[in-house]
Amino acid sequence: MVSNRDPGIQLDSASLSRKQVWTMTVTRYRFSVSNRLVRTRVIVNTGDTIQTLATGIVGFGGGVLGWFVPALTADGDPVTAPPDYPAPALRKNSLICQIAGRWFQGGRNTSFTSPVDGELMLAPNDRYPADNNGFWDVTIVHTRPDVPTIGTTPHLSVSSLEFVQVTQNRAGDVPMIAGKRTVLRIFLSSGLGATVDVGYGPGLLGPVDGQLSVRSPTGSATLTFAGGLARAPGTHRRDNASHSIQIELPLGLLRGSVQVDVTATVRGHAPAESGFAARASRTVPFVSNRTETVLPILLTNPVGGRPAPTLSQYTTALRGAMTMMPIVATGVVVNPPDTISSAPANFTIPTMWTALLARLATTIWFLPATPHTGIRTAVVDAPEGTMGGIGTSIPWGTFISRVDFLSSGSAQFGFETFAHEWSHAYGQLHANFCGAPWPYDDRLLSTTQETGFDVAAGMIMPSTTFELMSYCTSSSRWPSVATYQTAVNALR
Amino acid sequence: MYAVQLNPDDWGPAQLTLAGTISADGGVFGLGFALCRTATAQPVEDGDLKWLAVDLLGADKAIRSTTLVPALPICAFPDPDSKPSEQVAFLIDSLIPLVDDVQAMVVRDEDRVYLHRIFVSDPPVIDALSAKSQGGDAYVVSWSAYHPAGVDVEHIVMVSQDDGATWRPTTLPIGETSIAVNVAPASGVKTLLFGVVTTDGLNTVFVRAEPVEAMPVPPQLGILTPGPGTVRSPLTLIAITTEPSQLPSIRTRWTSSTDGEIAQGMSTVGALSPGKHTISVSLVDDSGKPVASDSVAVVVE
Repeated sequence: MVSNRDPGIQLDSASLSRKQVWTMTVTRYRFSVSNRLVRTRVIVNTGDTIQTLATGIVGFGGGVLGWFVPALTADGDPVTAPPDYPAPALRKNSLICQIAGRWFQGGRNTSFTSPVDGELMLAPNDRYPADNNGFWDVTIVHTRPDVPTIGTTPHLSVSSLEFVQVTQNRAGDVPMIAGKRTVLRIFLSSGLGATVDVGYGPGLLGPVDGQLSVRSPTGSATLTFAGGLARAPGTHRRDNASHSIQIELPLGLLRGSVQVDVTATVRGHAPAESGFAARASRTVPFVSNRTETVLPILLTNPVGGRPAPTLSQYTTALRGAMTMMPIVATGVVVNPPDTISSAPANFTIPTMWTALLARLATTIWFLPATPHTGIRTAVVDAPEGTMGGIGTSIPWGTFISRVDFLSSGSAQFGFETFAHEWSHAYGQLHANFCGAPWPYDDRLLSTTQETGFDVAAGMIMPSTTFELMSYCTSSSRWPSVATYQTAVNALR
Repeated sequence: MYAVQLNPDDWGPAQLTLAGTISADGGVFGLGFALCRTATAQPVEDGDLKWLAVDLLGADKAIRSTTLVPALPICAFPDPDSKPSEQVAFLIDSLIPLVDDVQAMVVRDEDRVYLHRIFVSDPPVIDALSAKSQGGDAYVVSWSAYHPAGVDVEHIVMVSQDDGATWRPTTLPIGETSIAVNVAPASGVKTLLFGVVTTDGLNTVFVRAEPVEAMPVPPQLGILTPGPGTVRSPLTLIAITTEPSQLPSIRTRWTSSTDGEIAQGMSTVGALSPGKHTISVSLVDDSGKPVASDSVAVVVE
């Protein structure tokens, strides 16, 4: 139903001024909409205006014996859609627009102002779009006011609710893994102009207190927050932790369909006071992964004169890497470890890493005494090594990762190395930066491009963080959405 | 459980090489190999070498052909002098039904033969196998081996902690005939049996050494969760151990530096008071004495 990307055509972009006070940017895009959800990659901020100008006819299937098949403009039928349509409150068989999970009415010439941040998506409001034919030629006019149209009067709102476990994009469609620690980021908008100061700084409003209700099939809980600050619309930066309120959600509730309801009020004002209170809700599915099995291989390093890593070193590396992977500890089956000599491997010779990997990956164990299934996860203490690790998905997931980083004050680098090689075991290729060898994943850049979150550390991982699959190691690395999604897909 | 590799010393980006695992047991070949090729005359084209065939040959014809595909190319040579586009490697692992009267194996693609291995009927010979303790968990296993037909052979050193009922590997396939290995006997194990599997690719022999006294080594324990950092109570507690059998939960004890004992068992749930804790897990022997432990520092919110 969701296409990876529909290459909409950007028609033009212009900055306009009005009354010598406000400026705005208007950008036009063009898309075809027929039988599926169209991702536009157009990022909409709260307060932006979206106008749809659509021509063409879409034929909707479902007629009787081929007769009376409706063929409609983007305005659709003049009735609201049935409950099992994507947007029951909007016109049946019409063009509809989605931002951050909320639907808005589109049409031949329709406009709306977005109350939320997110990627714009387009679709026909149809229960079974796959049998449609023809298409609507849709021009999107995206108007972004550089100065908010709301000036001096506070108008508190929740501009977006973002769930994040490891990484998240602006559209909020990175899958949530059941039972994995999750943070909800609450972005509050003040409704003030960016230069308007009502006592808390330009564009700011606060302190904002609130309540968060979490409901799922496993129960419910109510949490509170206090002292937040709302920012001028359009000024939120996801990389900045102070631009949102971060609340870790109760772990036991993170299964199935999880709904959060947020109420926020500027301290000293009544919840019913217009402009000083806001509410928002969001429901997100938390999906269970398959169980992952790993085979620990503790490699001795006779040539380098090092014993096999301890089981504690292995689990330290494994759980450190798990913070970057779509997996939870209860979803990992750890087979009994093997302690195996790496001889004659000499870790100062790069090709010996390859040779050892090949041996580990291709050795077949017939009828062993203990289970030898799962990803072959070898660790070695090799401070003399010329590589940090090496991994492959062929013929099955196998990798080697050094653990000497853990005790040399570079524990985080050790976790990143383990996660990097683990990602190779799922088929993820390198980011072509900082000397990483071919083959490459052309989707990856040197940095993650999207904001992540290290939940255990309670720390934002900015979009400028180096990509996990790059060799850029002068500071921390973290998975991009694409790298993370590779692991998500492998674990389905 | 037999597996050996062929030509392990031929690795290197400068030549067309094949290292393989070929073994026979119970009517199947276990075939695992890595094919690494460096194109020196012309760049490797994308999609080059899309498949490989393994032919088992009888006296004068192929009696079974198995195609191994698709194998995605990987490049795992970080040699700074090499050009990435010039390297291709394939790792393949498969089980192939063994047929009677097989006399040779050919690994090929459409127009190239990468391996032509002639099997002989005589098995390799192993003798003078011995195992000695070197103190702690170290043992040296030595043997001599030869093949009547002069064929290269490879070995895996195995160990049994239950008088030969089950075996586990202690090495990958090697060409050497003496190696130091590390074995941590499980609690209560008095003797170890070492054995060597040697094969020429088709004919496999397995020889056991005389039992050697097992030197007691403390088991190991590692905490899988929680990790360090902030946590919420109650929290899941999971540890793994080198002890091979299921342990009574009473032998695994979880304690907090602040709250004392909080749980028992390898996988359990514990409740903690807010604040800083060092969570420790201990494996205790029958007398309640700790024999292994691991710990992690957390802050309970």
